[in-house]
Amino acid sequence: MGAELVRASNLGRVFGTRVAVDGLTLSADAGEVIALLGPNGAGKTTTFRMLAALLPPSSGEARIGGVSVSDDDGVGVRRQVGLLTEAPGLWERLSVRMNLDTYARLHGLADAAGKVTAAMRAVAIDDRATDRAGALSKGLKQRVAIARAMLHDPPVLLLDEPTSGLDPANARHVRDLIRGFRQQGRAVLVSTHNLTEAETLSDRIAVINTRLLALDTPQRLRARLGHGRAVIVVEGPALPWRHVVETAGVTVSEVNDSTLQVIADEVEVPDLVAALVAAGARLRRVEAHQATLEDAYLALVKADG
Amino acid sequence: MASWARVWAIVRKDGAEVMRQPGLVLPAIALVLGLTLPAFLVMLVVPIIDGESLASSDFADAAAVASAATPELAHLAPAGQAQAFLLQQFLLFSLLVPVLGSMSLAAQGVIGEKLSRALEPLLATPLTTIELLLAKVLTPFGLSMALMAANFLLYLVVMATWGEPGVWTSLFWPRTLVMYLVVGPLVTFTALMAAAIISSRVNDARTAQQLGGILVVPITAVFIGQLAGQFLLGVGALWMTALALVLLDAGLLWVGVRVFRRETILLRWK
Repeated sequence: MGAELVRASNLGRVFGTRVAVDGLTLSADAGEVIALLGPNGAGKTTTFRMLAALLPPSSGEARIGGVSVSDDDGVGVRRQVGLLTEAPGLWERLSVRMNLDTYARLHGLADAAGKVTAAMRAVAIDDRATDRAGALSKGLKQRVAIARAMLHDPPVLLLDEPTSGLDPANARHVRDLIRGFRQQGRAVLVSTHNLTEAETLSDRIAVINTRLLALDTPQRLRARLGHGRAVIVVEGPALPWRHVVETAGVTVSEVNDSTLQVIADEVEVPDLVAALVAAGARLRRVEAHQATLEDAYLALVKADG
Repeated sequence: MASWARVWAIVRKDGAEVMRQPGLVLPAIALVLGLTLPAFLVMLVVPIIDGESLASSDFADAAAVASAATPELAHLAPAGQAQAFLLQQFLLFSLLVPVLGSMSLAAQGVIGEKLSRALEPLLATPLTTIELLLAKVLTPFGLSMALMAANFLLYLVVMATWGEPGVWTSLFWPRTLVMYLVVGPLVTFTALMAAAIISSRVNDARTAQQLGGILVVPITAVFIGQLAGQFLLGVGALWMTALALVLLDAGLLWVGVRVFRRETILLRWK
């Protein structure tokens, strides 16, 4: 990881009496991808808007590349941030190139035409440069929107549900682009409801439900908050072996004919099997299931109420 | 300090969008024709159909009375006086050309960004809200001025070709020039600012456009007043109108700048 590019300190935002974001503290370094997970209305989009200097925080502070979002009406921050909004928001009557060229001018880029061409090439949309944006598929529109976000070569990218509604091929393409952004040394914050995507794509995951519930690597979150499961099939009825499992300190979640379902992490399963065998059980099959990020996420959100 | 390069980027984009929407441009062109054709009918066609010269019509008497306050009329022949008098009445409607012609564009320009959800990415650039406001007013303003110029040229060509001798010169009277060059742009700015402000609160372009109807009322009132009272709104009165519009525009600009706040646009423009 490189230098710290994003720093939110006790960031908060209220709308009237409704608290949208409450005391959020997180940071992102150059070359780091952080996934923001949270239920609808958890404050992910509001957080992005504050980090992009579109909305002033009600409390706390945010800095992008050391510049406060409150400085100079946010202009300095917006120069450093590429924001992919939830909807592509393209001017549909205009060509792809005209869409991007307008943004290049708004950013005051020298060699606007060259930058637009490079951005289109980066997202593999250059062969559709003269097409009307409205004629593109949803996946291609999303690529144009990503090209727009990266046009001014920002060190920080805020991507709001970048793969939402995309087919698998386009979603993969977008994920590859995000991996590319990491290699280029950008700090990337991605909001998503896709847990698998969050796990495979991000270095750290922030679980948000108005406030920050957890911020850690996917592996540590799983280990900390998720619970592995094991299915043990014995010869004959399973019920007599229940006390052996419980004596070993493992919770039995279900007993059904010759099957015991237990809540146990992978590391506990060998000891449990040994205890059952020592007690005289004859085992026909043992399946260990790793704790999932979904388990961890749901446990966090449920605990938060 | 506004960056004109950024303002121009949006004006250029908006202009390209307008050109791709014949449904927006054609009604504006139809409006120019619709507001000038009645004038040509009354001044040029009706006298031919009736077989009666304007010199012997009631308008000649009205023109004679009006010439007391409008010395330029005195230099024309009786038929020319009547025709120039009528032309000056109808020229008032030229003020409606930029107002009505650009209202739909102004309202659509802002609401269109809302509906296409293009506002948020736009606001995520260094573009300031004042620059956005300026751009959203300047594009339709430019088109309005083009429409007004077209309207002027149409009067000039038709009156120079088929009008009574010398009547076309009334298009260059100080009164006419103040109306076209000063009052016209100011009243257009009033309408566009009002449309931009209203469209920041509504989602339907028609609601903003209906404001145009309000501005029609005073212009029509002056038209009727001129005909009934047999007077011509003089240069002094037009300058006073311009002054009032400057004050009104300053007020609208003040309101507009406050309405066009990034947070307001983002949260309330849904």
